[in-house]
Amino acid sequence: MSARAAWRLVTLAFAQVFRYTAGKADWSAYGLPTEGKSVTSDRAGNLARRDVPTCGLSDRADSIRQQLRKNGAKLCAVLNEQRVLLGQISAEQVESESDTSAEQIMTSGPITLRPNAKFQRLCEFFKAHRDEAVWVTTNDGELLGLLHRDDVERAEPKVDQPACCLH
Amino acid sequence: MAHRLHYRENQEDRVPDCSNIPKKVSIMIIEVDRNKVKVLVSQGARLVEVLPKAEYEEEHLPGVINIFLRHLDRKNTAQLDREQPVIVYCHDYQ
Repeated sequence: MSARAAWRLVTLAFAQVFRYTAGKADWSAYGLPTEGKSVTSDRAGNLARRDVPTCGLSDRADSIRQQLRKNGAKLCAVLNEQRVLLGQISAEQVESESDTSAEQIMTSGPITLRPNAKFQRLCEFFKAHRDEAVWVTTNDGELLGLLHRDDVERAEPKVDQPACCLH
Repeated sequence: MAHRLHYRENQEDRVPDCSNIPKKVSIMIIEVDRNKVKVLVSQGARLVEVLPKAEYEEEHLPGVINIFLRHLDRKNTAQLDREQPVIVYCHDYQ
């Protein structure tokens, strides 16, 4: 649709016409600001916690364990230099390890949600999965935060929809 | 009027001489990503969402104007400066 619109503007004598091909689905999937009736603060990107422990592939288990304890967290995100989520490490996974690298113990390719996922989608996700939390990333896999089941349960739906009952 | 391709005689690789063919004015539509959109908007480009009004009202980028594709004509685009960059978008790769 935007291609036809762009060419129509050319016929209307516009000198510089650009086409944002990926459109608003791409924009909101990166957690960039949008406006409108359906834009509410109960989306994944808003509810996700941003201050999550992270490490690189070569980081050692003992340092990851310390970081998890310091943050009172149960999960650590394994990122590359571009902050792309490569894997996750749980507190249990590093409990008995010391000199092992993150790459050796991480669980690769954890499930992710996009920041524009709506509240009902979050409820459906946690009903269908036993996970206590899920990573929120952009379409390119860049980490934005960690969404906790508890935070979804506590959230008040902002649009006319039922509260989230996960039990 | 037919236009033939002539070859320059003194060139061994026989590159065609297209000088006798009238040149068309080339108008490019440039595809941009979200980062380029941000830059262009900061430089004064206008964003136009070409989806129907109902979809626009549900969610849209900040600071855009909505002109549905079917309503893109001289009258409805009169508010836009022809010399200013314009970025159009819809939902996704439609």
